[in-house]
Amino acid sequence: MTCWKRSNRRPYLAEGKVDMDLVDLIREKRFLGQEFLTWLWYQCELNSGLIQVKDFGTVEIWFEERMVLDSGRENQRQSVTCQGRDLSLAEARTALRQGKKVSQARLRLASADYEWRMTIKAESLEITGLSLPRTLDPRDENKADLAGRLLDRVALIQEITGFIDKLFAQFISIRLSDNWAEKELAGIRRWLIDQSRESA
Amino acid sequence: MSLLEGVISLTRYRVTSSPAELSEEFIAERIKRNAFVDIDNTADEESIGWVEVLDPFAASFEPYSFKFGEIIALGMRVDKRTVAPKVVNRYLALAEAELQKTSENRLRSEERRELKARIRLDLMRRVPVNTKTIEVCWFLDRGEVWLTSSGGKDREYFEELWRMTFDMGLMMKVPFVLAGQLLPAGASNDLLEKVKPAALFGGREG
Repeated sequence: MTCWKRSNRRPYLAEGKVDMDLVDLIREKRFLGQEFLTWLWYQCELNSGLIQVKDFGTVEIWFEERMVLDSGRENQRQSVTCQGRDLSLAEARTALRQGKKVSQARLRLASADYEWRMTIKAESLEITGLSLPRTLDPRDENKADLAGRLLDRVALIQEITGFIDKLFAQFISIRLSDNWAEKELAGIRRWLIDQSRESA
Repeated sequence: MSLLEGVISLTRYRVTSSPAELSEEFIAERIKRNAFVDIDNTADEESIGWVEVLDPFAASFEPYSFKFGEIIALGMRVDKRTVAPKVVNRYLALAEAELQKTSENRLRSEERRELKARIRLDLMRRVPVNTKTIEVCWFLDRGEVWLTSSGGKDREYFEELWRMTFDMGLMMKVPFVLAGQLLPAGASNDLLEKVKPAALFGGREG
């Protein structure tokens, strides 16, 4: 089978005809994913990891173990990877203060009795390393059980992707509002300044 | 099979175009037409096609084993076999040495090319295939598709197989696309298109 190559001119689209204006817009607005993860980190620190999301109630979110930050600049991309149990560590914040934004983050989310872990890539919103709450016995081998397990796990993925969409919608709503510059951005900057004083 | 157990990678797409009537028969016919074809007893390098999501070794899809309510769940099976050029060249050198014993003439370049192709084909027949299966979930009610992989090559295979099978447009749910879908009431696409990166720590945008 011959596949067309995903050249730089056609990212993320699998269509016969490609609208080049749309491709350029997609490329130009990749920063939204980085700002989303950075905003989410700020929100988690501000609210001790308890995030209120419409239709979901309160969800606990932790940024853990691994975070990648980069400048987002196409030509001179510089990235820094921060690893460790405590991501309030200075390294990641220093990178933020140098103008970098979160480009990849490992998250733990808990709602009711369920817990998910995943890595989100900011640029594409792809999810990797997603572990789901265990609800069925994985040793069930017959086909009826397999179908049940499939639907069960699909429902759990739907729940978490639905939650991420709601969070992203919340971010976009703030990002496009007048409150962004006046309130949210000012808050993020204050947070970074406070942290830099604490670490000094 | 990550949809059934273990950790999962996920790429999400939005279906951007579909036929006026999307019947079960249409979907079944298209899937079967692009079902996986075994290359175990051939010298083919690669085979990509649909298999049943609960059994990657079955591709009959009877009775509509791809349908789970409003979800179409499929496995995309990719079988590949490769022979390293170094190995081909080694066997070519051995064959050439063997030929030299019975003839003083050196092989012409065309003969050498043919011999190399024969050797490669022979080696390919003897190499077992590598099998990989990635799941695909298509939510008919909301026009969303999941691929349980985030790799660039897997995405290429999937996007091509999807296009060949259903001839429908797909758009990956990257930030701009998702933002466009989730715009708050009263906000226009125009506003989204004009938004610029923010300098989170003041000064120049980073």
